[in-house]
Amino acid sequence: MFPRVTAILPLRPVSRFPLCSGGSEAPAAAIVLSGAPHGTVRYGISALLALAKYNIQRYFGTNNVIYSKKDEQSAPTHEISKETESQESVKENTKKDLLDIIKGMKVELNTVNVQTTKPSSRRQLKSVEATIGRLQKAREDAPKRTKSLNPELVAAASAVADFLPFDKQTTKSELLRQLQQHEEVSKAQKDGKRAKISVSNIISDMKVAKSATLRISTRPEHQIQFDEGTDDYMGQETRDLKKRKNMLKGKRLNIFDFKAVTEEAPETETAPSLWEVEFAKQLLAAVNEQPLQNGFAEMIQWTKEGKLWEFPINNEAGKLIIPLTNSEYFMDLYSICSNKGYYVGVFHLLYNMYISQSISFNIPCGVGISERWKKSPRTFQLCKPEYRSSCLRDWPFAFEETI
Amino acid sequence: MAAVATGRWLRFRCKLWLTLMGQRAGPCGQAPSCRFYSGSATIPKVEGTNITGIEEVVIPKKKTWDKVAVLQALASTVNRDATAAPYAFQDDPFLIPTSSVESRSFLLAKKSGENAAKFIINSHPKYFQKDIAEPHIPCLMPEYFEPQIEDISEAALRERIKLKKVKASVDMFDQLLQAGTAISLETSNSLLDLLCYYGDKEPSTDYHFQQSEKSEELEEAAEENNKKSEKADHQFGVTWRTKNNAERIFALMPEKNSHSYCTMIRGMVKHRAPARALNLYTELLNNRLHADVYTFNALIEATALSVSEKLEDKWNNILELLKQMAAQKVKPNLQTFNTILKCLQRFHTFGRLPALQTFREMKAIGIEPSLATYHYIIQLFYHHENPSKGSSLIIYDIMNELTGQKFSPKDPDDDMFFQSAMKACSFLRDLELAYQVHGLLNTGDNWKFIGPDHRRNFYYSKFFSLVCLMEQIDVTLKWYKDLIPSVFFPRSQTLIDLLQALDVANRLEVIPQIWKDSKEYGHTFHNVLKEEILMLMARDKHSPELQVAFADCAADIKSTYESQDGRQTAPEWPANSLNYVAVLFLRAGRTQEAWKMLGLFKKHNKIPGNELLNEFMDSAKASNSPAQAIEIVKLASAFSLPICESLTQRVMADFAINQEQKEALGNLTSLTSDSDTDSDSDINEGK
Repeated sequence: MFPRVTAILPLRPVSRFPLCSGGSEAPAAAIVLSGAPHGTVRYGISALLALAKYNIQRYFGTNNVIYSKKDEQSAPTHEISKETESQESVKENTKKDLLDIIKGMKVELNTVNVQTTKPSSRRQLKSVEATIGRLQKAREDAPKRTKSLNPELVAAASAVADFLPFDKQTTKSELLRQLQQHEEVSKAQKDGKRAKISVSNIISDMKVAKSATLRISTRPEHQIQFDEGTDDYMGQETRDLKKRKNMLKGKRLNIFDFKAVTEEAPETETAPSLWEVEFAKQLLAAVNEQPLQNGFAEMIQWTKEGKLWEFPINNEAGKLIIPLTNSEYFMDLYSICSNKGYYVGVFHLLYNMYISQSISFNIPCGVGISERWKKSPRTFQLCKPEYRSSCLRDWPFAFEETI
Repeated sequence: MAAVATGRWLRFRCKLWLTLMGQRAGPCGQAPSCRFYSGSATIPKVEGTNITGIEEVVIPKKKTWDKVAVLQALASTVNRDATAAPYAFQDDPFLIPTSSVESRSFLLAKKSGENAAKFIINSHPKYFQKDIAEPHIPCLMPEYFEPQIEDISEAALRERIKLKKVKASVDMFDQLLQAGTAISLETSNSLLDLLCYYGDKEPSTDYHFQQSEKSEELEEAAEENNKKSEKADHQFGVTWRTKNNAERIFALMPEKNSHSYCTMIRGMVKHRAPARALNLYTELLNNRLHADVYTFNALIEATALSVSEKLEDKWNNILELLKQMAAQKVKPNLQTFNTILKCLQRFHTFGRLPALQTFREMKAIGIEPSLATYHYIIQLFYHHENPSKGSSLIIYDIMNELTGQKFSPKDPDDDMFFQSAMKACSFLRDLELAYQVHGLLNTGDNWKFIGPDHRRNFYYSKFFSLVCLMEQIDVTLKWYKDLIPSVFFPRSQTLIDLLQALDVANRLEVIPQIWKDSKEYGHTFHNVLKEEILMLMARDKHSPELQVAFADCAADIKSTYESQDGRQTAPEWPANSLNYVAVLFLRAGRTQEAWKMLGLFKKHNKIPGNELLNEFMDSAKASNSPAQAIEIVKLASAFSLPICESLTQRVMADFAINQEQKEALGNLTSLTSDSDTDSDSDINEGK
């Protein structure tokens, strides 16, 4: 999965190690990114990266590695501990919660990007579902426990604030404000539909930009924006793609009446005008200009144009077919073909046709094989037994001699 | 993969069939799987009897075969050969095209040859009278375009109208009028048809071949224009002039019916005189006549074409027209709705809701949408979309609705659908959706709607780029083998996408093969592509075998820079490419050639990178050659590179050098610093 994401991110061109570029710090971060294991956290971060500018990504990348390296032994030296309880056990818990939340966050972001990175494997989907479930559970638990904000979320907020290279305090308070809102909303909706707002919404909604110019320049391809008033948009609705309302159904103009339109009108027989004729021509031209797919298709076209005998062959249609009476001719042909190294398949085909007696065929005897055929043997031409005389020049046999 | 399975089955079936052909092996009934049914004739199912063996055998009715039924059955057994050029290109091996440019000129040449032959035959019919074919083949005989009736009569006028002789018809009409002959309403109307359809201009011959000559690189940008140019194809430059022959004859006609008005309105809209058309419609209503559905369609277009009105007003006018249709009991057709949607395309975001309502309306009254209908909707929702905004999901509804359907041509724009659908997939970066679109394309005969050559290329380029971006590398390579070159010839960007996919999946060993293909597909002189290939090969160190392969590839690329024979531009070596090639030679142990590359740096006035010089130093150290090492320092100092200092130190530390060499080194470094101060002072003086 990960490679796909890198492929999308604007980061991509930098992730190669330029041989002669003088810049040494840019590749450093890039290497860190591409060198890291394909862990889930990493992936989550990489999805998060889509929200931030390139140099912020770098910042992220390094942080992330520090994280994944350290999280086995000790808590990272971030402010999480300051913000929450200082007790050791709580710290451990917080760390776990935080990681969970970050993992969950990754899932939410994933679903936002579901169109872009839709996994092809079942396994991946399952894990995504599982994480969504986890996150959901956490969310449902949230309002029960405290009236104020869940410490989990506070921890997550501060952690996210740490990640983002903006003013930490502002970021955090903004996040917490958003979370508070979310809490209220989810409380309100507790019994009804499950809340749609998630960490991803919050982050994407969050106004942490330092300046307008920065915002614009940092806007990556996949920024999630919420467009109010228009029809269904990605980001809000992706999660329940299946349940989504079909946009092709709904309110119509209500001008025409089904019955009036469908009822049979007395057909007035008039010759089609030039307009209709030309329209029909135009219509067919688009389809008929497709290049032919194979030799049979070409033969169909020729049949329709009248250049080819119709199949099954109607012997009454023309006079030119002369049944061959002896097989010596074929032996001659065979010797010509094989001696000169020409296409022996031609012989076999003709022989089969002869043996089967179903097709009588007129080929002037003593023929040579044309130069053109020598250059490019076209196997499909072998399938044209019912060629008409006028088309025979296309055959491998030139009419050089006749008996 | 179901497609593969079917393919295999078909091949098998094909073999069976061929054996049958060869041996004439009795009635087909013996091998039910080989039977082909044509047309819609239904055959009672007999398969069940094979299993139970009890039920009565139902003998199929005798059926008449369509003249192409056998051929159709045969054609259905033939698969595309993924290793060969498309059938249309199969010719003398020398002529088989290998790049998209060549394929275009191939098709154009073939078509223009046909057209030239037709033109000669038709312009000199007397030389082509000998009918050697028996029975007669009409399409090989000259067509007669010259009027046969000489005298001045209504029949002569009708003949000229039939032959589409615009000027001759008008002249004949005038002569008849002067002679005081009454001309029937029907004939006058068909003359009006002719004049209005062609905008009072002689129709261009039918020999034109719709091949866009636009460069494929401009494809996406030029898409909009493309559409217009196609629309304007045969009416290019033809605009409705006031007081043209159509208007004159229309005014002269003693009696006019609805048809006369309608054809005038349609002609005016077709040749861009929407305001006049709308006026004439008012006149038609004042004369208590009724417009037909085609005229309403034209009027809708006229409403949308009219300038200087707000979108909202335009839309209300369109609705007004529709209401009039309903009131006059004129049944709308597919073209009515397609015209509306096509016009709404130009309304951008405003058009979205009306478009959806229009679509629902047509569904509700039982008019089956065509591919063009969906095309317009996709264009409306995705064409002007800013990727940073959330995007509409309507394409999913459309694809859900369309999957599995087979289409027949209903609208001239039907062949735009697949291109725009694939563009939307690419925009949404949804591979699964792209597969769904591709599946639809391969359903039945739907492939016929892929459009002309350039649109096919666009479609497949987008599709393949998406595959490169999202798919696992093995599958990507499978697609690569399957599609290229038997379906389309890759553009350089397509190949770069593939290279990046290889890079991401760490399958760089395929690169030399890709380079070979690139050469074949006409990208030998594409610098961006070559640089990308070199960069990927040179970026990291690899196993010795791979390095050898890479160095071979690099040598091949190097030769393309050196022998740009027949090309006007002077060979231009980008600095990066020089670096990459040199480093690739070094790593493969082709030291001599690598040193020659250093010479090229001087020749082309390019500066070697630090990495490269370090690698050269490594190689000098590996071969323990202080002379080479000093040579490198010399080179660095010649370019006044800052790395010179550290290189010198490395030489001092790593190599056993004699006094002479030490002095030489000392000189070099002092020279560098001198030149540095020189240039500094230069700058100071400059200030």
